[in-house]
Amino acid sequence: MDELMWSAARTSGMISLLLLTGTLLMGITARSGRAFGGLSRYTQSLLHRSFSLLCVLFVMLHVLTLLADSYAKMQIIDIFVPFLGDYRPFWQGLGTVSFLLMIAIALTGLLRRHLGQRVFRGIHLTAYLMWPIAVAHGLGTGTDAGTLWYRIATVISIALVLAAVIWRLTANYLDHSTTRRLAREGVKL
Amino acid sequence: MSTTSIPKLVLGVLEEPRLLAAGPDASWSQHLDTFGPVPSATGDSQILAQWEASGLSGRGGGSFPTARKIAAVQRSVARTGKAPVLIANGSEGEPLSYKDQMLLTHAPHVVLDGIELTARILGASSSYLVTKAGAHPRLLQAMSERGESSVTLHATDSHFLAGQATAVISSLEGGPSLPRHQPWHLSDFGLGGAPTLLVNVETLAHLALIARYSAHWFRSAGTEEDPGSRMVSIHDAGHYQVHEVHGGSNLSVLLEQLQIPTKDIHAVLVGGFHGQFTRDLDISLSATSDAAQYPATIAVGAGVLEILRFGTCPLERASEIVDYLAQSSAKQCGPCMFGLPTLARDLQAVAQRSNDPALVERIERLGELVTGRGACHHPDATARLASSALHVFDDELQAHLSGQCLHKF
Amino acid sequence: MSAELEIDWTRCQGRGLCIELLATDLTSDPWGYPLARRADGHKSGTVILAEEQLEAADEAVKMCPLSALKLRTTARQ
Repeated sequence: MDELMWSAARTSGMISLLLLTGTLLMGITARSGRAFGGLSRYTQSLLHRSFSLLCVLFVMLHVLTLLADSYAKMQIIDIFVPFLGDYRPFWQGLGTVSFLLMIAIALTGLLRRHLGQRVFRGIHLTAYLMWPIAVAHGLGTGTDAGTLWYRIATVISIALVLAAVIWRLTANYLDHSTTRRLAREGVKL
Repeated sequence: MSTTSIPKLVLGVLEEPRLLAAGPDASWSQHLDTFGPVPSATGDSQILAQWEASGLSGRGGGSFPTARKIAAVQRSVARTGKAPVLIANGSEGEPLSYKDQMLLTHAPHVVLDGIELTARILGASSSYLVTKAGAHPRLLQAMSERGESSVTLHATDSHFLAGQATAVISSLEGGPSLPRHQPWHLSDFGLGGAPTLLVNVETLAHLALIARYSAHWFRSAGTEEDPGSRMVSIHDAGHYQVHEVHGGSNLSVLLEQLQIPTKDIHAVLVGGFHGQFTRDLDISLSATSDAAQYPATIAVGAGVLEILRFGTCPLERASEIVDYLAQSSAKQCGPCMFGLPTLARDLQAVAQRSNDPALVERIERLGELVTGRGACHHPDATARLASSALHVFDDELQAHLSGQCLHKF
Repeated sequence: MSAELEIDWTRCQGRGLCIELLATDLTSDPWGYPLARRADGHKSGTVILAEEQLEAADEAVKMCPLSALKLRTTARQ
């Protein structure tokens, strides 16, 4: 039984990391306000939400299966308080930290209309912090982290996210940024 | 106060001052000597009836019937049970307007009387007097003279949009002096969610005098469509003057009475930066515009007039104004933030005698694009001003499009 | 039953999801902000939607990244 739980924990962990990367990438493309390669703005937004919800589900599965696996030596407290675990406490703690951030992001996202834009945006931006922490957690605690394909997948993910973030910071990132900039420069002072 | 029998066509400056009757820098005792005390509360229902009968419309630019505004607040109070709030708006964001400052400096007690009466009749839980960049020392002095402690003085920023109704509310609530998205009426939901009456300080001054002298007295000045009197700020080549005039005043009569030379007047901007141009001086400065009557009436808004003389290209002046208005955008709403500078640039091209035939159509199209698509009416009014310039100065426009200017040789 | 799409222009950043979802009623202005295809009477900024559009409008309201939209239903005239 432990073997099954352990296997499920590893698998769900890796799937949630992939979904998290997908969520982040969709979030960045959606933020630009541009339609891309057949994906409308609406579709990008839907995918961003769908990936994020699936990610939460798989993280829940990941946490539950770890709790059920006696070999993993995880306690309920480890879900909410980081760095207390017995097995690689630091790297497992990073998992806890990213989990907590994820819950905050998910909740503020669902309650956006009640909490207001500022609270929503503020918490949402911590996604940029959560992602590297989750990746580090995977590398630090993951049983499969040492394998070649895991490393390749990690490198590709990091490359994609880095490229997206760099794009995010360029001047023409936003749709209509050129026409808007031209318009603002219209008035001579 | 006499009943005027002056024919409508020749109405101009008031024969005797009304709001400023107590003289410049009137003290509390001079004020009392001239106007007497604030009417007692026993006459309040009568006062409300007089306010309604007076036909007074707002003096802050909107020209909305004041009694209707008050009634709306009262209905809201009755419906919600919430105590109303009174805001006296003296922020005067329009750079050519000086009347509110004049009033608050020379006749603060008339304004404060208006605030006291209105707050009492409304049953307001709080009153605010909003002015630009710090209270005037005379105002503070006036408040202490009469032992006024229930009016809260509030300073707003001094930019153009700071006097806009929702911008004032935002400022009072501790936010920036910028317009807010507010699809409901202030009379229903205003400052802190309370039914709010926001009126110009001059409007309140008129209410104070109507309460003493009656609606009949108020209507003994002015015209049927624009009863009573108003204050106007006149800008003429760097000189500014403020006067009390009849409602519906004839512009040419007014200029003559004030000995402002008219021979080389080319046009007048009526209603300030959110107004319109006119080349015809034989017009009536009124609450609303109506070209069908004679003399035609033009909405004078908050009473700002700017004189344009031959030798000053009106298209250049219009372009200057639209530049200012574009820069004054709160930059919160896309169509205004991007549309106005684009419109300004195109109008600049017209002013600089570009021969691009598509310019005028582009300007009109931009005007349509920005109208109604923002949190306030700033883009609408700016578009209207540009359009007014292009229509009224048609001759200049044609000359410019062929590289000439009728005002320069 | 028709409805009015109320746009909070101070929140709108012209991301364009509503323009995609309500393509029959909205188009993009030169800077990406929603523009009503039909000018409705005196208020050109007002967007009146037919009943068939209500579902798409609900989705637009829900998905707007700035929460800049509200739907105000009006009784049948």
